[in-house]
This record gives sequence, C-alpha cells and structure tokens, in this order.
Amino acid sequence: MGVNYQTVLWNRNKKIYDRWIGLSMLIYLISFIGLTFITNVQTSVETLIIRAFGTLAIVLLHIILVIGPLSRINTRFLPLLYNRRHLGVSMFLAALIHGGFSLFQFHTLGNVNPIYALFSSNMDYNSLKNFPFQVLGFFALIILFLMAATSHDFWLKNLSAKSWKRLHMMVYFAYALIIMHVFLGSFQQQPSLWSTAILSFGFVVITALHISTGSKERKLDHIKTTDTNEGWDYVCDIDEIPEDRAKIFIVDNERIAVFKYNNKLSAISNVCKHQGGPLGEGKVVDGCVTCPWHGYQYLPHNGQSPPPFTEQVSTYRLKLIDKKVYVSPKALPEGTEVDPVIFNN
Amino acid sequence: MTSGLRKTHRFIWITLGLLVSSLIALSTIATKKPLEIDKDFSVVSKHKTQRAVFEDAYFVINLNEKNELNNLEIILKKPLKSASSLVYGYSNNSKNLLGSIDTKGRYTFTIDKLTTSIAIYDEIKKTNIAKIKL
Repeated sequence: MGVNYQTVLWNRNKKIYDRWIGLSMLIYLISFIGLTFITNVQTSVETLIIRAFGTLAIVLLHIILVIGPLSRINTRFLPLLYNRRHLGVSMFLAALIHGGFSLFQFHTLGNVNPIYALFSSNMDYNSLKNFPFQVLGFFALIILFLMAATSHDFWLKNLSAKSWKRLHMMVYFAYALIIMHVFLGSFQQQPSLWSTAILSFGFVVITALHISTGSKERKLDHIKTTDTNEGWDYVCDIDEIPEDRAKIFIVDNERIAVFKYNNKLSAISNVCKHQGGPLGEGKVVDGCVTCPWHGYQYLPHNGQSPPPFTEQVSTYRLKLIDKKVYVSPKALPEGTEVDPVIFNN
Repeated sequence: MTSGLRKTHRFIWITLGLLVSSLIALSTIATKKPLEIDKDFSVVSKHKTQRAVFEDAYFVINLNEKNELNNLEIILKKPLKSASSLVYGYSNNSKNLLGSIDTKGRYTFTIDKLTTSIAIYDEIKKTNIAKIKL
C-alpha cells in the first residue's frame, strides 16, 4: 500500500523479483538466438527478433496465467502473485517488440499505411489455411497494452475495482487470440510437431488448472451450516482458529473471515477491496488483517484500512457460547465498528 | 474474490477450453502440409523417368519429359529468405509465370516443350534468386 502514487512502488522483494525476471528473459533470448544460429544459419536478424520475442511473450503469458490457480493450490506461490504485475508488463514489452518488428518487416514495404496493410493484405477470413492471423495478434496486443497501461494502482483506484477487474480479465480473451494467432499463423506456414505439441500442452495445463481450482472453489461456496442457534450460524470451535489467523466461513454463498488475535475474535468480509484477495488466508500483522496477495491492511474490529488509507470491508457480529463460535449472517455496512468477542485462554 | 467473480472465471475458462481446443483441432487438420515436413523429407523424385536438371542447398529440380507437355518438379529443401518467390518459364522471347513457391516441399508445374530455362524471382526485391537452364 502506498499513500502517494509512484511510477513503480519498489521494495526489496520487488527489486529481487524484477532482477530475476530480467535475467530469465535475457537467458531465454540468448538461448533462443544461439540455438537458432546453430540450427539455421540462414535466418535473418529481423526474423530472429520476431521469433525470439514472440515465443518469449507466449512463455511469459503462460507463467502469468498459471500463477493464479497455483496460488490457490499452494500458498508457496503467493510471492509470484505479489509480483505478477511486473511480469505482465514485461510480457507486454516482449509482445510489443514482436508485433512492432512484424509490422515493420511485413507491412512497411508497400505504399500504404502499415496498419491499413495489416488489415487489407489478406482478407481470407473464410479459410483456416490462409486466415489473416496477424489481425488476431494485433487485437491481442491492443488488450495487453490497455492492461499494461492501467496496471498501476492509480488506475485501479480511479477506474474502480470492478471496472479495473473487468478490463484485466480480458487477458483470457487475449490469450485465446494469441493461441489462435500462433496456430493459424506460424504453425500453418511452418508446421512443427514439437511446437504444436508444446503449445497444446500449455493450453491444456492452463485451462485444466483454472477449471479444476474454479470448480473446487465453487463447491466451497455452496457449503451451508447445519448448526444454527436463534439466527446465529455455528462457525467452528475456538481452538480450530490459529492465533493471528482466520477461519473462513460461508454465508449466503459469500465468504467471511473470523480472525483470532490477542484473546479477541472479529469477523470481516473475506474479499479484499484491492483485487479481491482472500483476507482470511492472510495474517494479523501489527494488529491489522493483511491481505496475502498485495499486503492491503484492515483493522479486524471495524474492517477499515488504517489511516490515511480509506478502504473498507463489511463486518459481522460474533458470539461465543462455551467454546463454540457463532456468526450473525447479516453483513453490516462496510467499516462498521463491532466490539470484538473477548475470551480467556 | 466474490462468488460472482468466481462463477464468471469458471464460465470463461470452460468456454475457452471448448472453443479454443475445437479451433486448435480444426486449424491442425487444415494445416497445408503434413506435420512430418519438419523431418528431412525425401529429395528423390517420385518419377523414375525424370531427368535431374539442377541441385544446390535449396533446390532439387527435375524434368519429366512427355509427348506434348513437360512436368517441371521443384523440390524446395529449406525455406527461402524472400517473402514472395515466383517461378517463371522462358521460351525463345517469351516469359511465362508458372506459379509461386513458399514453404519447403515439392512443387510441380506443367511447361511446354519450348521452355528452355526457368527463373525463381523475388517479387519484392525484384531480383532473381536462381536462373536455371533445363
């Protein structure tokens, strides 16, 4: 979290991750170029740049898309999620170099505008063999540009979290466009069993991971408590909640997080206002619930971000009978103060 | 993430899974040449009666002489650098466009008996890639 907007919010971890991103990209490019020179000395520099950066962008996009579901499966991947935005911008830059050089090589020799040439040089939309695949790549690049340009928290705040999320979910559409760009483009012109198999495998893995984790989460959404007490839903026994951690509970298909800290219990919405991160999977750090995704913080007793921040989430009333924790399923308005339940160990 | 967003994500991925995998299958089936062309394919002519005309790092050119028209076979061993490569046939004072070649593979053109040479021409750079006497 930052009070003032900066171009890039650096911290030690981000610097380390960014160095790794840069180094990995460099190693990939050097390896690709080196192997191409060994196996095909006739390749021109322009073609080499187009292919090296195009394949790099696809590899990065697959890594980006796999981080979300992997983080749901194993929390050890959360540091990658924290740094995913920088990886996304790096991927866009690689895609931009690929697209820019392609446009330059294939569409600047004529006497018409290169963008016009891109759309008009091949109009064979009814053919899979000769489909104008470059158009697919162009539209994917536009989506990636919009995402990279609005990746900063400034835009998240000003576009509203809902609109920002909708815009950034277009990455799935861009992914589909890119897959078809490759299958209808380079794989038609230079069919390769290995390349086809590798990209198909990547697509299957990404899709299967998203669908399986999505289905698992959906099942959790439909869990209903069978133990109610005068309008209060039973959550769990107090011993089931680790110190400074939460138990996630489902109320009307939405999740709430019941936190235990300093001999107190408080319940807030599980959904972070920043990017919808699961607050219940975070920890209480310095008295604040801290989102595991990007570190946004909320006070557990009122769901408000500590000043000067202004984010607020809904709160819920709790009660403790013997060692059983109960929650009132009615969400209170965001930022409502609720006295924590105090207990003795 | 709210349950609504989770539902939207799931719907998007199921749709993508079905739609894109169908398109991948269709595009693979529609591929111009069999996928095996990645391997080294045979550069030996399919027709035993053909006369070998020319061979270098890029081309194997054979001529199958028949009664009325001849068959010209061009085997492109590896892709050419030029984006648009045309094949012209020359006979006496005339020049005829026979067709184009692009990816590596086997190309066959019908030519008349008077054709004495061919040229493979880079249409963009306006230069001859190769000129071969038959």
